Amino acid sequence: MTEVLVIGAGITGSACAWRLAEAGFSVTVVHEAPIGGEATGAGMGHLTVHEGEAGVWELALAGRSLWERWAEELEPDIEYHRIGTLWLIPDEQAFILARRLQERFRDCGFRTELLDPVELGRREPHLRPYWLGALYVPDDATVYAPRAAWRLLERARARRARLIRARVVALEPDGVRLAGGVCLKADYTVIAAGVQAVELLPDLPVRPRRGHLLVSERRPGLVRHALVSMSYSATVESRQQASWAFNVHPRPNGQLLIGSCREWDVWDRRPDPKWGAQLLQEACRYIPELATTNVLRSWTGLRAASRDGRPLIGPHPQEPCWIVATAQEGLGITMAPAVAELVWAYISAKEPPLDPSPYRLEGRLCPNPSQSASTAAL
Amino acid sequence: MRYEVLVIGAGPAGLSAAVASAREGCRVGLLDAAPRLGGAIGPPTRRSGRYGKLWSEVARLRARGLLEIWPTAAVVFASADSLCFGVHRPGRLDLFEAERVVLATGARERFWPVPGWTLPGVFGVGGLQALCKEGWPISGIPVVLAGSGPLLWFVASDLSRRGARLELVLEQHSPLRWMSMLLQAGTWLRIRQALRLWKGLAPARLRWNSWPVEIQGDGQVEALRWVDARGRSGRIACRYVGLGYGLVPNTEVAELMELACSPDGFVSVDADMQTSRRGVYAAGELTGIGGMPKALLEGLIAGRKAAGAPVPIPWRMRNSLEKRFASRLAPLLAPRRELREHIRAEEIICRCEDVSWSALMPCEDGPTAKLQTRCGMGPCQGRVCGPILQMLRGWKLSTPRPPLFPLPAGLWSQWKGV
Ligand SMILES: Cc1cc2nc3c(=O)[nH]c(=O)nc-3n(C[C@H](O)[C@H](O)[C@H](O)COP(=O)(O)OP(=O)(O)OC[C@H]3O[C@@H](n4cnc5c(N)ncnc54)[C@H](O)[C@@H]3O)c2cc1C
Ligand SMILES: Cc1cc2nc3c(=O)[nH]c(=O)nc-3n(C[C@H](O)[C@H](O)[C@H](O)COP(=O)(O)OP(=O)(O)OC[C@H]3O[C@@H](n4cnc5c(N)ncnc54)[C@H](O)[C@@H]3O)c2cc1C
Repeated sequence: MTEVLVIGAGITGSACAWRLAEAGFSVTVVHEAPIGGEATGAGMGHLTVHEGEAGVWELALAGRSLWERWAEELEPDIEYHRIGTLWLIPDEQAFILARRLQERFRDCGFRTELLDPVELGRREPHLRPYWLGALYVPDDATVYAPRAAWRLLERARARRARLIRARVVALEPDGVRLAGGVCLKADYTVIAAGVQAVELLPDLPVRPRRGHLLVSERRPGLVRHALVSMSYSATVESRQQASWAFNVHPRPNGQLLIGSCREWDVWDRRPDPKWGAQLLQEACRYIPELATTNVLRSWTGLRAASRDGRPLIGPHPQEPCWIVATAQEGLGITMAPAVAELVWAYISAKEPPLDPSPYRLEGRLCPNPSQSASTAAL
Repeated sequence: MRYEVLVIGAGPAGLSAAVASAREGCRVGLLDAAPRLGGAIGPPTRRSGRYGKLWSEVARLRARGLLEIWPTAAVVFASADSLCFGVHRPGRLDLFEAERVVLATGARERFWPVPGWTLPGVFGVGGLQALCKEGWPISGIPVVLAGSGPLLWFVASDLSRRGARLELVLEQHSPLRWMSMLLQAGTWLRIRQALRLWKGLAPARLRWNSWPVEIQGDGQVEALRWVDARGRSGRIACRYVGLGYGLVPNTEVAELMELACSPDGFVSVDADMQTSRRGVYAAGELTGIGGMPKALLEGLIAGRKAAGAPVPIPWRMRNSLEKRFASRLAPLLAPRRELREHIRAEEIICRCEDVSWSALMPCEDGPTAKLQTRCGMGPCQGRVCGPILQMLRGWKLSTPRPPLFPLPAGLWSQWKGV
């Protein structure tokens, strides 16, 4: 039987483990920290699609569609809620973008609706009447990602996947070496280690992109959908050191998650209250009632981002039995089921459900590892 | 706001530190989250005595402009890189800066999930006493107290003095156990105090070696069932229950500042009360639970050191005795083994997020518990369930994150930092 090692039990590793165990592979997951404890636990869990570099749209689209099926399998406790996204339109230019986006969604069979300011005000009564309108995507959902990762792993273990709590310190041609010196053998090794993949493969063009998030006390009804400014995609593509956009959605218990910002190449996980202030300035401007709402907590997470903005999914050119799955940037939760499909296709040599070429590693590695994110900063 | 010495926490330790620094001529700021000074003990009942005199000193130094006091001022942001703090007062969020800092954030009560502990009418013993001090009607009301140690005995005698119908006081250890601890590490004063409290309580049915097994009631406390070490048991009707199984230090500010802590969770200090960071001192319950005498003395040492003044040798010697007392006291205050073994599966451990003991079972560590069950993610940020899980499973839920107390979004949005 083909032996597969999966490094990392975030949403990506857990999804791969389940998919591969279902397909009958002998799977061993190796992870050190708590399940879903890194980016997966820090993220917003918004299952959505937006425009980006080549292939980003397609991967997110595939992931989002698969989530609808996965959610049924993994419910009830992953808190999958179809709250819908309102892409808020700040200006004329964004209006044109929203139109284009709507057409693109329509071509993919998504339901959408272009709301005028009056209709927007009806759906979100506490939103300040500032926007020219919104593009409504009713089937977008939110999910509680760390629990989803846990459930996926449980499912994988029910299919005889093994779980080993250890830190991988090196990749070998035929497996991995753990801290302490033990080696595990496998036919394939899936590197789903998030941003920490660069520790194992310094030639990966992966850099951390730190984000801050805040959570408020319960304010049921204050916000009803996932509210995201149309300027959000621009922050994702931004080359500037720091960028941010209005992004707020309710958790099922009525708490609000408030984001989101990006900083290139910051490894420090300690939250900086100044970022909280920045995000809240924006959020209070658009939801005035938020000003009197208590914020309970702030935290950070590190998105794994590639230099060219495309995820890195596929065999490593040097060792084809190392299958890399990282650099989903801010859409790794959404993309996870689709990433698992691609990984499964590589390992079983089957036809993938979508074109894998945008994500392949060939020609994208850093010849000189010191050019990639400085591992010294770890 | 900028001070030479900033004292955080205005309980006995903080007051004592602030006075010691201000007396040396430093410009001192003293702030506390609570609306009134005095921390867990509150204002003094008489003007004489060391604590009463301390308050007169506070007033005097304040009048001379050497000491500035900020009540209702909670530290919500702190950092490992600078001595700058975000301080929340009603309607404001201000930056406080300092050259030296004394942390005196004290301790809070450890709650224990005795079956039925979430019923209205169940309090911490300290909380119950504070309510009565503020004028809550207690006279003639049947009360049961359960827990361990001096705070339990003190509150029991105080409540009965206020006219409460003290049905039962369940002390988890035997008088022998307490006496041998006091003889080994106590002072004569403490022994005399203990004997006086016990004597005063005897008629009020002080039961040794006993602990509660269930608090019963339908929407409100109605009765309590108890057992003792010899297997005797009983049930007694009551309206209020006060539980007192020790205190846990408020280390949140210290943790944001990344100060070193001992394995049992107290802030580590040297003989000068200096923490792992130069210019940052800690005093009082934060460094070990030892009551007023320890808090006052440590505050004095920390305050003088922060002001650059020397500390007399006899103080240090006395301080090491206080430390020894604190370290012997801690294990006796924690809930005994039997109490830790009988947690009901359906018992709610995290009251903010409604997480039951059974939901926590499959988790293997604190961060997992937090992520998977949302335990400790509510408004109190794990201040109640964190110490319970620490004791039950040896978990640390997580390090604190800003803000340390819930903070209105509108105020935070104006924060500029340094
Ligand atoms: C602030 C923020 C908001 C976000 N919002 C969203 C959103 O709304 N929607 C969305 O789809 N995505 C969002 N994301 C992105 C998403 O969270 C990530 O893309 C996704 O979680 C990545 O999952 P992962 O499993 O690849 O990586 P991770 O979750 O980082 O998991 C990697 C795991 O591998 C383990 N590991 C690493 N190295 C080793 C080793 N050597 N040995 C053993 N174990 C190892 C780590 O401990 C970790 O648990 C957000 C991210 C952030 C930071
Ligand atoms: C009911 C009761 C009776 C007692 N009786 C006796 C007795 O008879 N004899 C005896 O020796 N001892 C007694 N004690 C114990 C005594 O009160 C404590 O030992 C003493 O108060 C400890 O002083 P402290 O300054 O270390 O901490 P505390 O008194 O706990 O003060 C700490 C202060 O820090 C503040 N604080 C915490 N975090 C923050 C923050 N982030 N920002 C701003 N402020 C903050 C709190 O609001 C608090 O006011 C009693 C305690 C109680 C509760």
